[in-house]
Amino acid sequence: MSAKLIKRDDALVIKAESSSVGVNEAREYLSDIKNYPKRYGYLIFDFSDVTEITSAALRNLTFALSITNQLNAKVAIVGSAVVSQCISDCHLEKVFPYYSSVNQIFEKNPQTSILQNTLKDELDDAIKTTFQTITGSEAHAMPFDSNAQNYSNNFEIGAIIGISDTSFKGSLILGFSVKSYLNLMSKMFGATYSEVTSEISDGPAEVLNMIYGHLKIALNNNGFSVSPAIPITIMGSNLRIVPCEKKSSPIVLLYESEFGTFYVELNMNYQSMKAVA
Amino acid sequence: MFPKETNILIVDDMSMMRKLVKAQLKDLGFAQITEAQNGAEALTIIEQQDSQNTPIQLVLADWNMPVLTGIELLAKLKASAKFKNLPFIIITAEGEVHQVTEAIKLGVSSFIRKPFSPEALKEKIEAVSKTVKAA
Repeated sequence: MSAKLIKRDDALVIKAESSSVGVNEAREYLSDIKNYPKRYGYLIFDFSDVTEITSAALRNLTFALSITNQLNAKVAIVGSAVVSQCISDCHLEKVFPYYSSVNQIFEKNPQTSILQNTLKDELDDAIKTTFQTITGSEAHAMPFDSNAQNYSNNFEIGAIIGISDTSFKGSLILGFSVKSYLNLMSKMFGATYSEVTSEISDGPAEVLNMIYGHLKIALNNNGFSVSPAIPITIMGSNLRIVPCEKKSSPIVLLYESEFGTFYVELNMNYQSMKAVA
Repeated sequence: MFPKETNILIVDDMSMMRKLVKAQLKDLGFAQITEAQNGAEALTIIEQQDSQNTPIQLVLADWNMPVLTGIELLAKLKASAKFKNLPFIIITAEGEVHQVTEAIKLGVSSFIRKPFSPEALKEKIEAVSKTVKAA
Protein backbone atom coordinates (compact mmCIF):
# COMPACT_ATOMS: atom_id res chain seq x y z
CA MET A 1 0.00 0.00 0.00
CA SER A 2 1.43 3.39 -0.99
CA ALA A 3 -0.93 5.35 1.22
CA LYS A 4 -2.24 5.26 4.74
CA LEU A 5 -5.96 5.95 5.12
CA ILE A 6 -7.06 7.80 8.23
CA LYS A 7 -10.63 8.56 9.25
CA ARG A 8 -10.95 11.95 10.87
CA ASP A 9 -14.26 13.61 11.71
CA ASP A 10 -16.26 13.54 8.50
CA ALA A 11 -13.20 13.10 6.31
CA LEU A 12 -11.14 10.29 4.93
CA VAL A 13 -7.50 11.36 4.78
CA ILE A 14 -5.36 9.55 2.22
CA LYS A 15 -1.78 10.07 3.36
CA ALA A 16 0.75 9.32 0.58
CA GLU A 17 3.66 7.33 1.91
CA SER A 18 5.93 7.64 -1.10
CA SER A 19 7.73 10.79 -2.19
CA SER A 20 6.65 10.38 -5.79
CA VAL A 21 3.05 10.13 -7.01
CA GLY A 22 2.37 8.84 -10.49
CA VAL A 23 -0.56 7.19 -12.23
CA ASN A 24 0.06 3.85 -10.52
CA GLU A 25 -0.01 5.42 -7.07
CA ALA A 26 -3.17 7.35 -7.95
CA ARG A 27 -4.86 4.13 -9.00
CA GLU A 28 -3.81 2.47 -5.78
CA TYR A 29 -5.31 5.32 -3.70
CA LEU A 30 -8.62 4.94 -5.51
CA SER A 31 -8.56 1.22 -5.00
CA ASP A 32 -7.95 1.81 -1.28
CA ILE A 33 -10.80 4.34 -1.06
CA LYS A 34 -13.18 1.78 -2.54
CA ASN A 35 -12.56 -0.39 0.51
CA TYR A 36 -14.22 2.24 2.67
CA PRO A 37 -17.97 1.81 2.07
CA LYS A 38 -19.03 4.57 4.43
CA ARG A 39 -19.65 7.86 2.64
CA TYR A 40 -17.51 10.75 3.73
CA GLY A 41 -18.07 14.48 3.38
CA TYR A 42 -14.45 15.04 2.43
CA LEU A 43 -11.62 13.14 0.83
CA ILE A 44 -8.30 14.73 1.71
CA PHE A 45 -5.21 13.71 -0.22
CA ASP A 46 -2.32 14.43 2.11
CA PHE A 47 0.74 14.83 -0.12
CA SER A 48 2.80 16.62 2.54
CA ASP A 49 5.81 14.36 1.97
CA VAL A 50 5.48 14.25 -1.80
CA THR A 51 8.28 15.95 -3.74
CA GLU A 52 7.20 14.82 -7.18
CA ILE A 53 3.71 14.48 -8.65
CA THR A 54 2.71 14.08 -12.27
CA SER A 55 -0.16 15.88 -13.96
CA ALA A 56 -1.35 12.50 -15.24
CA ALA A 57 -1.67 11.31 -11.64
CA LEU A 58 -3.78 14.33 -10.71
CA ARG A 59 -5.99 13.92 -13.75
CA ASN A 60 -6.32 10.23 -12.99
CA LEU A 61 -7.59 11.08 -9.52
CA THR A 62 -10.07 13.56 -10.99
CA PHE A 63 -11.66 11.17 -13.43
CA ALA A 64 -11.48 8.11 -11.28
CA LEU A 65 -13.11 9.68 -8.22
CA SER A 66 -16.42 9.39 -9.97
CA ILE A 67 -16.21 5.62 -9.95
CA THR A 68 -15.62 5.32 -6.23
CA ASN A 69 -18.50 5.24 -3.76
CA GLN A 70 -17.66 8.79 -2.62
CA LEU A 71 -19.62 10.60 -5.30
CA ASN A 72 -20.79 13.40 -3.01
CA ALA A 73 -17.51 13.90 -1.21
CA LYS A 74 -15.67 17.17 -1.52
CA VAL A 75 -11.99 16.78 -2.29
CA ALA A 76 -8.98 18.69 -0.95
CA ILE A 77 -5.24 18.32 -1.41
CA VAL A 78 -2.56 19.07 1.15
CA GLY A 79 1.04 19.39 0.04
CA SER A 80 4.13 21.40 -0.66
CA ALA A 81 4.62 24.13 -3.25
CA VAL A 82 5.41 21.40 -5.80
CA VAL A 83 1.92 19.95 -5.41
CA SER A 84 0.34 23.40 -5.51
CA GLN A 85 2.20 24.21 -8.72
CA CYS A 86 1.07 20.95 -10.34
CA ILE A 87 -2.58 21.69 -9.46
CA SER A 88 -2.18 25.14 -10.95
CA ASP A 89 -0.47 23.85 -14.10
CA CYS A 90 -3.32 21.40 -14.66
CA HIS A 91 -5.95 24.10 -13.98
CA LEU A 92 -7.50 21.87 -11.34
CA GLU A 93 -7.81 24.47 -8.58
CA LYS A 94 -11.59 24.16 -8.53
CA VAL A 95 -11.49 20.37 -8.38
CA PHE A 96 -8.71 20.16 -5.82
CA PRO A 97 -8.73 23.05 -3.33
CA TYR A 98 -5.19 23.28 -2.00
CA TYR A 99 -4.13 23.54 1.64
CA SER A 100 -0.67 23.68 3.16
CA SER A 101 -1.57 21.41 6.08
CA VAL A 102 -4.30 19.03 7.16
CA ASN A 103 -4.82 21.08 10.31
CA GLN A 104 -5.59 24.09 8.17
CA ILE A 105 -8.64 22.20 6.94
CA PHE A 106 -9.67 21.05 10.41
CA GLU A 107 -9.71 24.49 11.94
CA LYS A 108 -10.64 24.53 15.57
CA ASN A 109 -13.31 27.16 15.08
CA PRO A 110 -16.45 25.08 14.57
CA GLN A 111 -18.01 27.71 12.32
CA THR A 112 -15.33 27.04 9.76
CA SER A 113 -14.65 23.36 10.28
CA ILE A 114 -15.33 21.25 7.25
CA LEU A 115 -18.21 19.33 8.79
CA GLN A 116 -19.90 22.55 9.89
CA ASN A 117 -19.44 24.01 6.43
CA THR A 118 -20.81 20.89 4.77
CA LEU A 119 -23.85 20.92 7.04
CA LYS A 120 -24.30 24.65 6.56
CA ASP A 121 -24.40 24.16 2.78
CA GLU A 122 -26.82 21.25 3.08
CA LEU A 123 -29.05 23.15 5.50
CA ASP A 124 -29.07 26.21 3.26
CA ASP A 125 -30.03 24.04 0.30
CA ALA A 126 -32.80 22.34 2.32
CA ILE A 127 -34.23 25.70 3.45
CA LYS A 128 -34.15 27.27 0.00
CA THR A 129 -35.67 24.18 -1.65
CA THR A 130 -38.43 23.99 0.94
CA PHE A 131 -39.46 27.64 0.70
CA GLN A 132 -39.16 27.72 -3.09
CA THR A 133 -41.47 24.71 -3.35
CA ILE A 134 -44.11 25.79 -0.85
CA THR A 135 -44.28 29.47 -1.80
CA GLY A 136 -42.98 29.53 -5.35
CA SER A 137 -40.58 32.32 -4.41
CA GLU A 138 -37.01 32.41 -3.25
CA ALA A 139 -35.64 32.93 0.23
CA HIS A 140 -32.32 34.77 0.24
CA ALA A 141 -29.64 34.22 2.85
CA MET A 142 -28.70 37.33 4.79
CA PRO A 143 -25.24 38.10 6.11
CA PHE A 144 -24.79 36.86 9.65
CA ASP A 145 -22.38 38.00 12.30
CA SER A 146 -21.59 34.97 14.45
CA ASN A 147 -21.05 37.26 17.44
CA ALA A 148 -24.49 38.83 17.16
CA GLN A 149 -26.91 37.57 19.77
CA ASN A 150 -30.02 39.35 18.55
CA TYR A 151 -30.93 37.17 15.58
CA SER A 152 -33.90 35.69 17.42
CA ASN A 153 -35.26 39.00 18.74
CA ASN A 154 -38.40 38.77 16.66
CA PHE A 155 -38.99 35.09 17.34
CA GLU A 156 -42.69 34.78 18.14
CA ILE A 157 -43.68 31.55 16.42
CA GLY A 158 -41.60 28.63 15.25
CA ALA A 159 -40.73 25.02 15.80
CA ILE A 160 -38.04 22.83 17.27
CA ILE A 161 -37.00 19.26 16.52
CA GLY A 162 -34.56 17.16 18.52
CA ILE A 163 -31.77 15.45 16.60
CA SER A 164 -29.56 12.74 18.02
CA ASP A 165 -26.98 10.24 16.95
CA THR A 166 -24.45 8.16 18.89
CA SER A 167 -21.96 11.02 18.54
CA PHE A 168 -24.08 14.09 19.24
CA LYS A 169 -27.29 15.50 20.59
CA GLY A 170 -28.77 18.62 19.13
CA SER A 171 -31.72 20.53 17.85
CA LEU A 172 -32.97 22.29 14.77
CA ILE A 173 -34.99 25.46 15.29
CA LEU A 174 -37.07 27.53 12.89
CA GLY A 175 -38.22 30.98 13.99
CA PHE A 176 -40.50 33.65 12.51
CA SER A 177 -42.18 36.81 13.70
CA VAL A 178 -45.97 36.31 13.70
CA LYS A 179 -46.22 38.84 10.88
CA SER A 180 -43.76 36.90 8.68
CA TYR A 181 -45.48 33.61 9.47
CA LEU A 182 -48.95 34.95 8.59
CA ASN A 183 -47.55 36.36 5.35
CA LEU A 184 -46.07 32.93 4.58
CA MET A 185 -49.38 31.16 5.19
CA SER A 186 -51.23 33.78 3.13
CA LYS A 187 -48.76 33.22 0.30
CA MET A 188 -49.11 29.43 0.50
CA PHE A 189 -52.88 29.33 0.58
CA GLY A 190 -53.73 32.42 -1.44
CA ALA A 191 -55.81 33.81 1.43
CA THR A 192 -55.23 36.55 3.95
CA TYR A 193 -54.53 35.43 7.50
CA SER A 194 -54.59 38.05 10.23
CA GLU A 195 -54.21 35.60 13.11
CA VAL A 196 -52.78 32.16 13.75
CA THR A 197 -55.86 29.96 13.44
CA SER A 198 -55.98 26.33 14.54
CA GLU A 199 -55.68 25.04 10.98
CA ILE A 200 -52.34 26.80 10.44
CA SER A 201 -51.00 26.64 13.99
CA ASP A 202 -48.93 23.52 13.33
CA GLY A 203 -47.43 24.98 10.14
CA PRO A 204 -44.02 25.84 11.63
CA ALA A 205 -43.57 22.22 12.73
CA GLU A 206 -44.50 20.95 9.26
CA VAL A 207 -42.17 23.38 7.49
CA LEU A 208 -39.36 22.43 9.87
CA ASN A 209 -40.15 18.77 9.26
CA MET A 210 -39.60 19.32 5.53
CA ILE A 211 -36.26 21.04 6.17
CA TYR A 212 -35.25 18.30 8.61
CA GLY A 213 -36.11 15.61 6.05
CA HIS A 214 -33.49 17.04 3.68
CA LEU A 215 -30.96 17.63 6.44
CA LYS A 216 -31.40 14.11 7.81
CA ILE A 217 -30.41 12.63 4.46
CA ALA A 218 -27.35 14.91 4.35
CA LEU A 219 -26.36 13.96 7.90
CA ASN A 220 -26.71 10.26 7.19
CA ASN A 221 -24.73 10.64 3.96
CA ASN A 222 -22.00 12.19 6.10
CA GLY A 223 -21.64 9.18 8.35
CA PHE A 224 -24.25 9.96 11.01
CA SER A 225 -27.23 7.83 11.81
CA VAL A 226 -30.07 10.12 12.85
CA SER A 227 -33.60 8.83 13.20
CA PRO A 228 -36.98 10.31 12.35
CA ALA A 229 -38.18 12.78 14.97
CA ILE A 230 -41.37 14.71 15.66
CA PRO A 231 -41.19 18.52 15.56
CA ILE A 232 -43.27 20.74 17.83
CA THR A 233 -44.58 24.25 17.29
CA ILE A 234 -43.77 26.99 19.78
CA MET A 235 -45.62 30.29 20.01
CA GLY A 236 -45.30 33.22 22.40
CA SER A 237 -43.59 36.57 22.77
CA ASN A 238 -39.91 37.30 23.29
CA LEU A 239 -39.10 33.64 22.80
CA ARG A 240 -35.56 32.40 23.08
CA ILE A 241 -34.59 28.75 22.98
CA VAL A 242 -31.38 28.04 24.82
CA PRO A 243 -29.93 24.53 24.45
CA CYS A 244 -29.37 23.00 27.91
CA GLU A 245 -25.88 21.90 26.98
CA LYS A 246 -24.08 24.19 24.58
CA LYS A 247 -20.57 23.03 23.84
CA SER A 248 -20.28 24.19 20.27
CA SER A 249 -21.34 27.22 18.28
CA PRO A 250 -24.64 26.79 16.48
CA ILE A 251 -25.05 27.15 12.75
CA VAL A 252 -27.40 30.10 12.35
CA LEU A 253 -28.84 31.06 8.98
CA LEU A 254 -30.93 34.18 8.44
CA TYR A 255 -33.19 34.66 5.44
CA GLU A 256 -35.27 37.34 3.85
CA SER A 257 -38.11 36.66 1.46
CA GLU A 258 -41.17 38.36 0.12
CA PHE A 259 -43.12 37.26 3.19
CA GLY A 260 -40.54 38.54 5.67
CA THR A 261 -37.50 37.33 7.54
CA PHE A 262 -36.89 34.11 9.43
CA TYR A 263 -34.00 32.15 10.88
CA VAL A 264 -32.90 28.54 11.27
CA GLU A 265 -30.51 27.37 13.97
CA LEU A 266 -28.75 24.01 14.13
CA ASN A 267 -27.15 22.98 17.42
CA MET A 268 -24.97 19.90 17.55
CA ASN A 269 -23.20 19.05 20.80
CA TYR A 270 -20.67 16.35 20.07
CA GLN A 271 -20.11 13.67 22.64
CA SER A 272 -17.33 11.96 20.73
CA MET A 273 -16.30 12.51 17.16
CA LYS A 274 -14.82 9.00 17.08
CA ALA A 275 -18.25 7.57 16.54
CA VAL A 276 -18.51 9.49 13.31
CA ALA A 277 -15.35 8.03 11.86
CA MET B 1 -56.25 10.95 -14.55
CA PHE B 2 -58.72 9.83 -11.91
CA PRO B 3 -62.26 11.17 -12.50
CA LYS B 4 -62.99 14.43 -10.70
CA GLU B 5 -65.60 12.71 -8.55
CA THR B 6 -62.99 10.32 -7.09
CA ASN B 7 -63.26 9.95 -3.30
CA ILE B 8 -59.87 10.89 -1.94
CA LEU B 9 -58.67 10.48 1.64
CA ILE B 10 -55.87 12.69 2.97
CA VAL B 11 -54.16 11.30 6.07
CA ASP B 12 -51.82 13.58 8.00
CA ASP B 13 -51.46 14.57 11.64
CA MET B 14 -50.55 18.14 10.66
CA SER B 15 -53.63 20.25 9.85
CA MET B 16 -51.60 22.67 7.75
CA MET B 17 -50.37 19.83 5.57
CA ARG B 18 -53.91 18.46 5.13
CA LYS B 19 -55.05 21.94 4.17
CA LEU B 20 -52.19 22.29 1.69
CA VAL B 21 -52.81 18.94 0.00
CA LYS B 22 -56.55 19.57 -0.05
CA ALA B 23 -56.02 22.96 -1.73
CA GLN B 24 -53.76 21.36 -4.34
CA LEU B 25 -56.30 18.60 -5.02
CA LYS B 26 -59.08 21.16 -5.39
CA ASP B 27 -56.93 23.06 -7.88
CA LEU B 28 -56.71 19.80 -9.83
CA GLY B 29 -60.50 19.65 -9.88
CA PHE B 30 -61.13 17.09 -7.14
CA ALA B 31 -63.96 17.96 -4.79
CA GLN B 32 -64.72 14.84 -2.78
CA ILE B 33 -61.97 14.96 -0.21
CA THR B 34 -62.04 13.47 3.27
CA GLU B 35 -59.43 14.02 5.96
CA ALA B 36 -58.01 11.83 8.72
CA GLN B 37 -55.46 12.71 11.39
CA ASN B 38 -53.71 9.35 11.55
CA GLY B 39 -53.73 5.83 10.13
CA ALA B 40 -56.21 4.47 12.66
CA GLU B 41 -58.75 7.17 11.91
CA ALA B 42 -58.14 6.60 8.19
CA LEU B 43 -58.85 2.89 8.54
CA THR B 44 -62.16 3.61 10.26
CA ILE B 45 -63.15 6.08 7.54
CA ILE B 46 -62.18 3.66 4.75
CA GLU B 47 -64.35 0.93 6.30
CA GLN B 48 -67.27 3.27 6.98
CA GLN B 49 -67.23 4.77 3.51
CA ASP B 50 -67.11 1.32 1.98
CA SER B 51 -70.11 0.16 4.00
CA GLN B 52 -72.03 3.25 2.84
CA ASN B 53 -71.28 2.48 -0.80
CA THR B 54 -69.16 5.61 -1.17
CA PRO B 55 -65.76 3.93 -1.06
CA ILE B 56 -62.48 5.81 -0.76
CA GLN B 57 -60.76 5.43 -4.14
CA LEU B 58 -57.38 7.03 -3.48
CA VAL B 59 -55.38 7.49 -0.28
CA LEU B 60 -52.69 10.13 0.22
CA ALA B 61 -51.03 9.39 3.55
CA ASP B 62 -48.15 10.89 5.48
CA TRP B 63 -45.51 8.42 6.65
CA ASN B 64 -44.77 9.74 10.14
CA MET B 65 -47.90 9.95 12.25
CA PRO B 66 -48.86 9.08 15.81
CA VAL B 67 -51.19 6.14 16.62
CA LEU B 68 -50.82 4.40 13.23
CA THR B 69 -48.23 5.53 10.70
CA GLY B 70 -48.76 5.74 6.97
CA ILE B 71 -46.69 2.65 6.29
CA GLU B 72 -48.59 0.72 8.98
CA LEU B 73 -51.86 1.81 7.40
CA LEU B 74 -50.60 0.61 4.02
CA ALA B 75 -49.65 -2.77 5.52
CA LYS B 76 -53.13 -3.16 7.04
CA LEU B 77 -54.82 -2.30 3.75
CA LYS B 78 -52.62 -4.71 1.79
CA ALA B 79 -53.52 -7.46 4.27
CA SER B 80 -57.22 -6.87 3.64
CA ALA B 81 -58.84 -8.73 0.75
CA LYS B 82 -61.29 -5.87 0.34
CA PHE B 83 -58.82 -2.97 0.31
CA LYS B 84 -55.59 -4.46 -0.99
CA ASN B 85 -56.00 -2.79 -4.39
CA LEU B 86 -56.86 0.65 -3.04
CA PRO B 87 -54.42 3.11 -4.69
CA PHE B 88 -52.12 4.50 -2.03
CA ILE B 89 -49.63 7.36 -2.33
CA ILE B 90 -47.32 7.79 0.63
CA ILE B 91 -45.99 11.22 1.55
CA THR B 92 -42.80 11.72 3.50
CA ALA B 93 -40.35 14.45 4.39
CA GLU B 94 -37.46 12.01 4.33
CA GLY B 95 -37.45 9.64 1.39
CA GLU B 96 -34.28 7.72 2.14
CA VAL B 97 -33.58 4.65 0.03
CA HIS B 98 -34.53 2.19 2.76
CA GLN B 99 -37.87 3.94 3.18
CA VAL B 100 -38.65 3.80 -0.51
CA THR B 101 -37.69 0.13 -0.56
CA GLU B 102 -39.93 -0.66 2.41
CA ALA B 103 -42.89 1.11 0.82
CA ILE B 104 -42.37 -0.58 -2.56
CA LYS B 105 -42.12 -4.00 -0.92
CA LEU B 106 -45.48 -3.37 0.73
CA GLY B 107 -46.98 -2.46 -2.63
CA VAL B 108 -47.33 1.31 -2.42
CA SER B 109 -48.71 2.87 -5.62
CA SER B 110 -46.41 5.88 -5.48
CA PHE B 111 -44.17 7.91 -3.25
CA ILE B 112 -43.91 11.69 -2.94
CA ARG B 113 -41.39 13.66 -0.97
CA LYS B 114 -42.22 16.83 0.94
CA PRO B 115 -42.15 19.61 0.02
CA PHE B 116 -43.82 19.05 -3.33
CA SER B 117 -45.32 21.35 -5.92
CA PRO B 118 -48.89 21.03 -7.26
CA GLU B 119 -47.34 19.86 -10.55
CA ALA B 120 -45.45 17.07 -8.77
CA LEU B 121 -48.63 15.92 -7.04
CA LYS B 122 -50.51 15.97 -10.33
CA GLU B 123 -47.81 13.86 -12.00
CA LYS B 124 -47.92 11.28 -9.22
CA ILE B 125 -51.72 11.03 -9.31
CA GLU B 126 -51.69 10.71 -13.11
CA ALA B 127 -49.08 7.96 -12.92
CA VAL B 128 -51.10 6.04 -10.34
CA SER B 129 -54.24 6.52 -12.42
CA LYS B 130 -52.55 4.90 -15.43
CA THR B 131 -51.48 1.94 -13.29
CA VAL B 132 -55.02 1.50 -11.98
CA LYS B 133 -56.46 1.59 -15.51
CA ALA B 134 -53.90 -0.93 -16.74
CA ALA B 135 -54.64 -3.38 -13.90
